[in-house]
Amino acid sequence: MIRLENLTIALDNWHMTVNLTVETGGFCALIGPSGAGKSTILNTIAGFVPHVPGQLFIQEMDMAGLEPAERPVAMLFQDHNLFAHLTIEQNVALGINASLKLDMEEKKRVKDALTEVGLEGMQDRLPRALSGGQRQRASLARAILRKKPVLLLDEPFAALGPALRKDMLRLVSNLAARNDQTVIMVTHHPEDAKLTASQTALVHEGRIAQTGPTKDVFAHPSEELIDYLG
Amino acid sequence: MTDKASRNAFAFGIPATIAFIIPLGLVVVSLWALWSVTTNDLATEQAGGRPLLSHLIDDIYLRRALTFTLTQATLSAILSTLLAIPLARALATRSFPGRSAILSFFGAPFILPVIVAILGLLSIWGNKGPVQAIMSAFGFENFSIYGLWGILIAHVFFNLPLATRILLQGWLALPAEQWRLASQLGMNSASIARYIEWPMLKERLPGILALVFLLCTTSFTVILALGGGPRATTIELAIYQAIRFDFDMERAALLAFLQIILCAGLALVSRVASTDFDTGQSLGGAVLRTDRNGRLAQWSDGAIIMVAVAFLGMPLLSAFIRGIWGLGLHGIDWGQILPAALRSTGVSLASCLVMLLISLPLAQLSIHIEGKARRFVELPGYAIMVAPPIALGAGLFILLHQHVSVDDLALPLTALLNGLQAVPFALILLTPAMAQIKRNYGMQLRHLGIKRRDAIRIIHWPLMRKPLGLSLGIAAALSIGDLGVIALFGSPSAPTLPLYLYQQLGAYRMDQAYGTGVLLTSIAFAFFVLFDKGLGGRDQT
Repeated sequence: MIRLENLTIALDNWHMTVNLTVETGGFCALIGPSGAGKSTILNTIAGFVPHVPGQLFIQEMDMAGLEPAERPVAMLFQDHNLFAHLTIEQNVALGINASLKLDMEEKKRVKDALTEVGLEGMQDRLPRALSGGQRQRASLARAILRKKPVLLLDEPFAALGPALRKDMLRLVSNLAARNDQTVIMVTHHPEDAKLTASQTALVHEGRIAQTGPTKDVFAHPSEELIDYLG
Repeated sequence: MTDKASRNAFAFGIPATIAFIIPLGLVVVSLWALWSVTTNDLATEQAGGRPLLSHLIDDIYLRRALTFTLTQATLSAILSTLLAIPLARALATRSFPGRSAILSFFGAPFILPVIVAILGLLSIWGNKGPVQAIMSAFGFENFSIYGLWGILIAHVFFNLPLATRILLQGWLALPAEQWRLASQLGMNSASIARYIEWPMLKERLPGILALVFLLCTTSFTVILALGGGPRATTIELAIYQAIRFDFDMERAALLAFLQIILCAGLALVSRVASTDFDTGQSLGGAVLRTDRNGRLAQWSDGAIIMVAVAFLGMPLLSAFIRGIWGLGLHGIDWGQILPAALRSTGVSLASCLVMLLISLPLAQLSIHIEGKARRFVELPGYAIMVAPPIALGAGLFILLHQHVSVDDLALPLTALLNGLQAVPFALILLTPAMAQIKRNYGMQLRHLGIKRRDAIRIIHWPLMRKPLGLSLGIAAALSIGDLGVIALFGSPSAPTLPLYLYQQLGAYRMDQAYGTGVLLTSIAFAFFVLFDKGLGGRDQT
């Protein structure tokens, strides 16, 4: 379970206070207008933005003071998920062995992860030789390989076309369910939330304005959600 | 690798302290030495001392040096910049085979040893050169490359390519839509110049003028070779003469102070006047404009490009041919050349080390600092622009000559100051590359928890080796060809290769000098290629 209890985030002249709970194995979509603080919430959970103790718990463990790499979290960014000069295999392998000196077992795990996301046979290519969707699949393979209980998605599929985006969301959803991962996803597309998320939270002016099961949220939208959806 | 670890690895602690202390310490120590001599001198001259300005006004020699410094730099900057405008426009408009080769060739004067380029200019514009013959045929027999004219020609030779490349970037950065719009509206060349080109030029010209002015104020070797005498002496040359010929430390100190004040002011003006030129932008392609499709415009652009290529290429070609001829005629005097080349190589490699020790921590530190404080962090790297090598060297000479034999320290001091000279170039190349790694992959590195050693091996080294190689190539080539600091400190009996060439030039052993020039250029280019292509490898970004 991920629990944000009055999580206070202060950045320059702007601050937000967030209350949110996502159950283990849940899939939560964060929606809301640009600048509302969706990505900031994700960056705070991932450890890139500092916070005080007693406000952010993953599996009942306080995350305060933990470096990003020490948190039980795998994250997919909007871009630059892959190192442009490393092959797909090397990029994925960074998830389990940062020295890239892989033994046979590790090589097999990388190969399996690539197969799982449909990139078999592409391990020796550089990211620039892959399409946008394939690149994000490679990033996803690395996230799977890391076996972290929480997966954070900061609009990684925003640049893809609608059909490809849906494919990727289904893939993420299936893989997360299979690995019992909890997912929090930032998106600008309400239909993405409807398609994959069990829970939706509307971020509005630095706070969670509405949250609940996705069906309920869209069936009984708050004023802020109505404004956002237009 | 965590962010904290990354910062500790390069930026803070001992490396950053060294990067701050070496340049700033040298400037402070040098200024202190200059100040102590100057105040002593002024105090003895008149009770209570006199302000620098009044001393300057009274001393005709100082006044002349200052006037000539400013005059030649002003004219050089105006000429180089004005000539660059039509040339950049022609190169921006025309796409032709060999264009990229010409643009690469425009980078050559930058790494070419200055003294070799001057040899080339002498062979074309000198007393026995073809230009002199043509001018004599038209009745202009008084032209001499020695003096103001020669200095202007040399400065245009070195700075026209630089100004052209910066302006060309400006032309190519104009949005393609503007050219299409101009075409649709049927705008003629005058309207395009007014509404599209002039706004771009207005933004870039002050910066280019200031930059070229600054470069010409501190171009010691050109003045040493082509200037001199009471009518063509700059402040830097006067410092050199005061130390090497007159052993007049008071005058040298006063001149060095004057030079530092001048350069500090110019660096400030240059910083204010210049926008950040996009150093990494590609110069490929050409703008699509329809107003210059006419035959006349095509011919005039072609003529401008050909004249520029001839102006820049003929001296180099001539120096090369005469050098090969000289080597064929006299062979290589290994007894002299080899030790000189080894000294130059040693100095060059040591200056590369100095450059790395200062620029890497400064670049790393600056990318972790936001806002105006970043300028402060990079300040030690640009100290050499405020206190140029000859002025800084004068201070060190004054400080050291009473205690040790400066001749013995000539090579280490030259390496140190040459290394400092290369730091501004290195910062321009390394800082954006490091910032890009941080911007693109900083969060990813922290997220994946890659350890420092692995991050350097797997991420930083592959992505940094290109700018690092280029920085080292520039540092090595500049140092190999340096005839500034070494002229001040160097012993005639143990010269570096450029100093040896200058000695040959002074002794009118022209064929041998041209031969040495070919060897010097070959070594400089070999070092440049070795670092840039060998160490730098393929671009991974």
